[in-house]
Amino acid sequence: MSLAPRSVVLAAAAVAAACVPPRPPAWVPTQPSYVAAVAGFEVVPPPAWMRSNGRQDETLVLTRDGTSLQRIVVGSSEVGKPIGIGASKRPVQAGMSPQELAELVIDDLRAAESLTAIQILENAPATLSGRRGFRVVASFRDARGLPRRLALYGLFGGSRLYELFYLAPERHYFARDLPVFEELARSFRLREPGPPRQIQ
Amino acid sequence: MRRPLAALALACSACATETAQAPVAPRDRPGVAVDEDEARILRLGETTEKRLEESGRLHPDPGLEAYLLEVGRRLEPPEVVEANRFRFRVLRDTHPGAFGLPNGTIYVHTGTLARMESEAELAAVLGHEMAHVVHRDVLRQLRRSQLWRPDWTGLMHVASVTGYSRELEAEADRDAVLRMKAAGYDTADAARFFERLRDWIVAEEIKSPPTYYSTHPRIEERIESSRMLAASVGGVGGRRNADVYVRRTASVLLVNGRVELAAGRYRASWDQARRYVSLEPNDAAGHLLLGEIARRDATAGWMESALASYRRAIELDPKETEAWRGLGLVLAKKGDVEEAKGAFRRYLELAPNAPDRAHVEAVLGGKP
Repeated sequence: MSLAPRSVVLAAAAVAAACVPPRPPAWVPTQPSYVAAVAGFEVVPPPAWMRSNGRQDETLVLTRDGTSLQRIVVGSSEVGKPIGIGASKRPVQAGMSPQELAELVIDDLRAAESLTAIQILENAPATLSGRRGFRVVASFRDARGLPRRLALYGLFGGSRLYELFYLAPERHYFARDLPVFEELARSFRLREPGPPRQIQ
Repeated sequence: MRRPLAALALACSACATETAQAPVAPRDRPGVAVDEDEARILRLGETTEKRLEESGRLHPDPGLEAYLLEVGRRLEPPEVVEANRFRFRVLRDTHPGAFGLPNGTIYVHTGTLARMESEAELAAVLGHEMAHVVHRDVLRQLRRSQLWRPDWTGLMHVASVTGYSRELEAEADRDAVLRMKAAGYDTADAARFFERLRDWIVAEEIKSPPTYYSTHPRIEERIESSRMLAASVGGVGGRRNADVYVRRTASVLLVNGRVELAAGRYRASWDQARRYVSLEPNDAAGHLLLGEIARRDATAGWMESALASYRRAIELDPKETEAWRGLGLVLAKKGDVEEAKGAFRRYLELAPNAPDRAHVEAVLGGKP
């Protein structure tokens, strides 16, 4: 699956809208750690899950039972570009506070006209990798009317907004794998971004 | 809607093999017989309506719905309105569009209402959608395409996305202009609506507009055919009722402007907010929207513009919570920390359960 850097959250919309990714990704079992040298982060993926990532941008996509049932995505968006869930053109701006970044994410959710009944259940400061960020939890119905829930962390690192999110059907699945996502979020570390390279 | 969700059920809609059918008569009076396949379509219409009700995307404004019904009633005789049980709803969707369900419920997008400028244009859109319902076009399309057995999303798709066959669309266009003429509306406004669709396609750089909007050459064709229809039918120069339209649809500018803002389409949002404020200068909500646009857009001079709008909103309605929040955010950005804290305290007093309370408390605690 190929995800543009700015399109981390778009993966949520892909699931929400059609419940299938646009292209079949190459899936491999997770390893004890994942290092995104170019984007500049590392995380500890859950054991025995499946991993996929875009060759160009190092966006990490994880699932155990299939992306329509649970999906964890870790990636980043560049300052000056939108993080749209589809419709929003609003860009990430340098110097945004965690509150403003959270507002940006919420706007993007609200701008996705295929998502309905959007409710913001939580919007609070959070700390990841020693930096202040935010945590947003939202529920909505996808394009087929299925209730889904999203938990998302975001934080600034250098000139990028890093986003970690977990998306699953509200019923049964979200609560089941939320602890897995929280553990992954705790393992998130920023690194000094490296030069561009092809991911194998 | 208008998303790639439904490549599925629609693959075999308009283009499927036609089979010989008995003609479907218009439902132009109460008591027209309903066959089993149509009964299923009508049930599907009810399901679709329920889903839309639950979606949270309706803009429930009884006054506005009543206005749409008034215009609809001018376009069709009472027995036709009764036979088709026409109802009119407004859907919060920034794209210019409208669609009618087979059970008589017509949905008009806020994006349509916010862009139009006259009652005559509205009549063109309503007349078109009402014609599809009166002519039972979903049934006609279904009977032509025997493979097509839609679920509710499929029904939505044909009604709002792919549109009907070119022949059925042309028939609805023609019918709408005839009804406009009979009601005394300026029939030239039918073409104006399609011109607005074309402008939107160009402005938004829409690469593959849904069939309803049509591809660029086809929308030009539709503009031209609407002009020719108006010229041949007559009624050009009839009443437009622009003043009435602007007054009675004012609330839509606010609703649609907010969604445009969330989508980062600041220019459209700003235009609609300005128009709303000019119509309702003493409504705090309009000034709040202007403040929100200025704060998010952050172009030159935005701070002063945002502060002025937030302060005006608070002046008009001291309990406008979001204006206090916006004021706090801008003042914090400006470095007026104590004043920002004052605004944030007022915000939390008014909205103790605010979803972003923890963020605000962090600022108040000295961690901006």
